[in-house]
Amino acid sequence: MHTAKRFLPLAFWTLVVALFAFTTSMLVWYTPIEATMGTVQKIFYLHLPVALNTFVAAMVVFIASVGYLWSRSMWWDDLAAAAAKITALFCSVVLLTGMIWAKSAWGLWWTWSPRLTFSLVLFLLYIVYVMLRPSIESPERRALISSIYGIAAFLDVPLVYLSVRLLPDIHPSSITLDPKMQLTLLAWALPVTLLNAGLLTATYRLHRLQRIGRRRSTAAVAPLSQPVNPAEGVSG
Amino acid sequence: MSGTEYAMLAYVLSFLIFTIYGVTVWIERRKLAQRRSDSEPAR
Repeated sequence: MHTAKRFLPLAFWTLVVALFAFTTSMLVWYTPIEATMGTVQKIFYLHLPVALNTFVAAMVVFIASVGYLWSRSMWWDDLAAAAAKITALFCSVVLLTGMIWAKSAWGLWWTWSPRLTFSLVLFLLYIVYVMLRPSIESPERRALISSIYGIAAFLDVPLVYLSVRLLPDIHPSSITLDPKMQLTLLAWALPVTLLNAGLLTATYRLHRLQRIGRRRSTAAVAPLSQPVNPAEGVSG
Repeated sequence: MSGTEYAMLAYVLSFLIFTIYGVTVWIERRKLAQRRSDSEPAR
């Protein structure tokens, strides 16, 4: 059991790295160069799956926040906090890859178009979530405020998605891909999604360990009349 | 810079960001697990 516990993450991350190696080689030797944009269009195969996974991570924050308000279980709060970090991380990569592409395609790093602006707001919303959490001392109060914030922050996701369709925007709203390009895009979606799942799981476990550690240190100094429920630590 | 160089820059920086984050989480978890096992009473 102990060996399996150690072997499984190693096998998982080996698979993710192998898949990234495969998709990168696909990008170099298999995927055709787009006629109008040239090689820089290949940023798209990373940019789009990471953007979609940003939405997925934000959705996890939303669901976990609702879950906490519904059940008041700290399990949901740990999950929401972990997913918020992953949302900010993935969104930073979306912005970075988008900016590099924009510099090559448009000749500028940044423009205040609706989609870019809403994407930057999304990034800032989750960065604020991550940075403000430690400043709230009471775990229950922190979980409650984070949940309400996590639900409100998710409102920006439909704005990012719909802005390019509803408002005049320089950002491409759709792109025509030939079958080889479509296959490359699908291939890239797999390791990026696995990366999202792996990092989310690792971050969630870190949060759980931190919470258990904090509670144990509190219990060590608490009077014996206020016992800490040991079952909570197991359930997470 | 050419389009190829921009594309390479985007991929390298993205992988770097993901790797730095992943390694940071892994180190933090190891530290916490170590601290936890150190504070466990001897059986």
